[in-house]
Amino acid sequence: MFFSIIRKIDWLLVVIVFILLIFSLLNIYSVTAEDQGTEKVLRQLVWIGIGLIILISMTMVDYHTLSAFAYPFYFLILIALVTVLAIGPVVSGSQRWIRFGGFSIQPSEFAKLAMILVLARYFSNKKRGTISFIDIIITGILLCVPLALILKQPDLGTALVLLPIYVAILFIMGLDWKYFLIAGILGICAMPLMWHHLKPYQKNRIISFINPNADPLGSGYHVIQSEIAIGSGGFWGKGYMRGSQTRLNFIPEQFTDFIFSVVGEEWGFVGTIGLLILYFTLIYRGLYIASKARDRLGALIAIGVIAMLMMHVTVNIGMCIGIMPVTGVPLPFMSYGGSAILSNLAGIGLLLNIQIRRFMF
Amino acid sequence: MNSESVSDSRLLFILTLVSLIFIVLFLRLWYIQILQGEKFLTLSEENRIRLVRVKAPRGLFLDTNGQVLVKSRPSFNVFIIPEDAKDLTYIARQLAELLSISEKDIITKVKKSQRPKFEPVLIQRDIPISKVAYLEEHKMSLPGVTVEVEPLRYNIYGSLASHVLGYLGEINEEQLKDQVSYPGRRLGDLIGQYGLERSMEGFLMGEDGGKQVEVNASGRELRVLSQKDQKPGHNIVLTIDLHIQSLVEEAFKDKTGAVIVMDPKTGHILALFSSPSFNPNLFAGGISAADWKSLVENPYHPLQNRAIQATYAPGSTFKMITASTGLEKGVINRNSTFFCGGSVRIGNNVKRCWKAGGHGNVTVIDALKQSCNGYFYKLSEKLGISDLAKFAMSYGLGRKTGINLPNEEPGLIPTEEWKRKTLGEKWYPSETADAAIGQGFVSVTPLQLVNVVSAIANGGTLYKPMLVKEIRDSNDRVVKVFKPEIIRKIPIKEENLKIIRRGMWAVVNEEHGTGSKARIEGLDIAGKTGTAQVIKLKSKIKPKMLPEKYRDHAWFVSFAPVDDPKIAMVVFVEHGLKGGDAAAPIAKIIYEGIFNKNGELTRHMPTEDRGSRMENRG
Repeated sequence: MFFSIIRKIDWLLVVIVFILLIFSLLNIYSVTAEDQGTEKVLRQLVWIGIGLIILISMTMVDYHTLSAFAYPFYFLILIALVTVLAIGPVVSGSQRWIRFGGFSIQPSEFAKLAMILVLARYFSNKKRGTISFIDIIITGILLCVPLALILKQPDLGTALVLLPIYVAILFIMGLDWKYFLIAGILGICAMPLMWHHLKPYQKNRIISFINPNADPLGSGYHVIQSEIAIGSGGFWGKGYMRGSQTRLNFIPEQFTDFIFSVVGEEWGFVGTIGLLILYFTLIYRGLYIASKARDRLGALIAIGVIAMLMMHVTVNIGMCIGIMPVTGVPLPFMSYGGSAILSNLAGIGLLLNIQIRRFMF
Repeated sequence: MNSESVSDSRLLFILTLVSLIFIVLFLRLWYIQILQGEKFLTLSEENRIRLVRVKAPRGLFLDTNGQVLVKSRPSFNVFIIPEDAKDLTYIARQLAELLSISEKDIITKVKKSQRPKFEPVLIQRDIPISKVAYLEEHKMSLPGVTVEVEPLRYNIYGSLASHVLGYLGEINEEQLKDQVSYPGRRLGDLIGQYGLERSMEGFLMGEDGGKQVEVNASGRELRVLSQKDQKPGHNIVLTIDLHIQSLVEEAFKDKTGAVIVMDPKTGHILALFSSPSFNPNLFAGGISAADWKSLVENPYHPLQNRAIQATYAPGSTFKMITASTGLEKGVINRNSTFFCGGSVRIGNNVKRCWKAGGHGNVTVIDALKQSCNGYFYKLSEKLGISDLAKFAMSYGLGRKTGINLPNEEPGLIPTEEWKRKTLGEKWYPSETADAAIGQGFVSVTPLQLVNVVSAIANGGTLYKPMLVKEIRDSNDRVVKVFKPEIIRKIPIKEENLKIIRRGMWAVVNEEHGTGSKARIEGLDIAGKTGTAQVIKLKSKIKPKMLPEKYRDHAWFVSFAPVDDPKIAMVVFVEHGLKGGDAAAPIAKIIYEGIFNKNGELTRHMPTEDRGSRMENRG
């Protein structure tokens, strides 16, 4: 059993993830070495260690068994999200974490996984192309409860990632094109309405995205500095640990949300394109696994994981290079931060799981 | 199987979408890294874009008539920008000599800064103008050293109303984490740490602005790229009257204690003084270690606001409350008498009146006038502690008044239950007798007492004491008005209040009244003296022979004019001995300053001359 798993495992996926993790540690060290030595790198290593254990368990236990726990897991996450709002500490204006000893957990990161598992489970015994309006309502409620709780924190970025998971799964289930069209139009019409519900800082980010000079001291400034950092890297980059933008702390959150800017400055075009190729291969591989999945449950889980990763990559890199507004979405496997690493590695575990079991009957 | 689980055409669509997104990312990276790379490289290396914070001016404090009490003055501060100060040891040596501070301190400050390296690190605040000129002249040889102007807090009248106004101090770690109360504050920022400076911080601070500037290689500003204007803080109009406040402070001289003057019809505090006071200007640029030490080690604790933070036995000033309870419970009336023979036996204790031979048969009015203990001991036997405590609490004693100042103390009104819980003992009748004359467990703040007197004066309405009248923005538009707030209507009949007011009038104006030293021809003052025991004396020692810390506290509470009260006042002299001798004369001086010969309020302002004299001192 064990050896057959080892033999059938998708090694390409594993190798890509490992390259990303090692590259991430190198860059986190580059930014934090001067002030904090190896502290951040070691902390991240601990998270990666825990994440790999989760990855292995997510690979070994048959995903059918895992999906049996989809609903309990989903409710557990809802309880965690409510707990965060009730007792979570307020960090720069929002409540996102629950503390355990020296570490903090961000339940909203795991909400994405719960969403994937619950939606896949729900649709796995429906026939493709036969989704009724009631199905949309029920799954819509399943989506909106955690979405609302996360928006309340407020964490717009993470909340936004839940949407593509939902949309991608409905799309793959063969929902008629016209529904997507209607949803799109409704979405655009609802924008002015949603605008009123945004927090002032969120409005500022969108305004400064459209016009970076509108808020030159806030997020607009950060985006300009991030672009300068990436652009100044040129083709070859300024060299490892030599990025002046980074060294001088022009860029905020350098080892979390803006780590791509560090890559751009120190590793240049070579580094950024290298990263893009790695992510593209990862996504491509995921789509392949989805297409070859043994059953619908597997395919849907795979699609959900891909949607989650793709959304993160697009929104994060888009923000760093100034084509997306600033939202606090981490770059998968690259950004510092425990909860994201755990949930992303769990996602990869699910992909490997589906890949292995396509041969097993 | 596969074809059933997912449709290939839809997967293909997703793959196309994903590829398109990656192509967009690729093209954008190509554009900024390859095509624009040179431009961005120059931007990152030669020209530097920096953020400079422009601090918002802090709001002013104005007195009730619009006189400015606290404003800002420019202070020149020296900073080092670590990124530009390449030869830090050399620069530190130069600066250390000029500013006469230690070279090592400068280096530690720069090294310890957690902020980005291009952000200035504060080295010293408020340097004299001559040194500013020197630094400007030598700026070429001191790269990385900058002087910036910062508005600094300035109390125009020095220590005047210092406990009300408070002072600023550097923000501490805990406050830094509190982004809700202190948005955008950074290490080294000055915020209100005491008094109204602290409780009104949210109104006073305004909103910092900033500008994005391009600087040259040595950190000098080349041009402003864009900027966000700062929003000045709001101005606070106080209920404090500068004229009355300075009158009070001059009348009280250098004694220890507190005086509060209140408008009994609104709860507005016209003057609040705690002595000894301190000079908030010492704190303006961050207080020096030596100044701080002398304030903290002063045995009279000048930083303590005795008006609200210290609790004392009210002594005989509490007798109005005992009388209220008796009248309202129907135990006594205007004409009923008790016999005072000089001592009363209660349980196993013998309680003595201050007058050895006793006062004979006295009514409640006589008892108040002469402050007869015997009367109130006998009354206490008929009342019991629970009724007395209930009345005291309805007058606002035993809990905070809710004044807008930090660290107010609630004082204590004892009950049987309280004693059982905290001391684990039962209540004795002799303790009710002690409470009836404001001794024993009873403790109050001067502010609570002036509130009691105000309520007696105005017909039984207990107001929340107020210091802030309104808030105006920097263009003098009214932003917020604070209306008088009623805590409660005290459950006492007007006819009974009249009896108490009559007794208080007698204290000042009739023969044998204990407060006769406050009497003013042409002004009907009603008052009550209090002499609160600090220790019980076994044998008769002359009070003046006692060490100061064991001497009695002197109280005088009063209001005037009796028929249409405009002023309520408490004068408290710590260890001042007899209320009638130590406190009442001070009240008299203050009343004389507030009212003219016809008993009308006067509101002449202190002259400019006087202001500038204090300005020089401050």
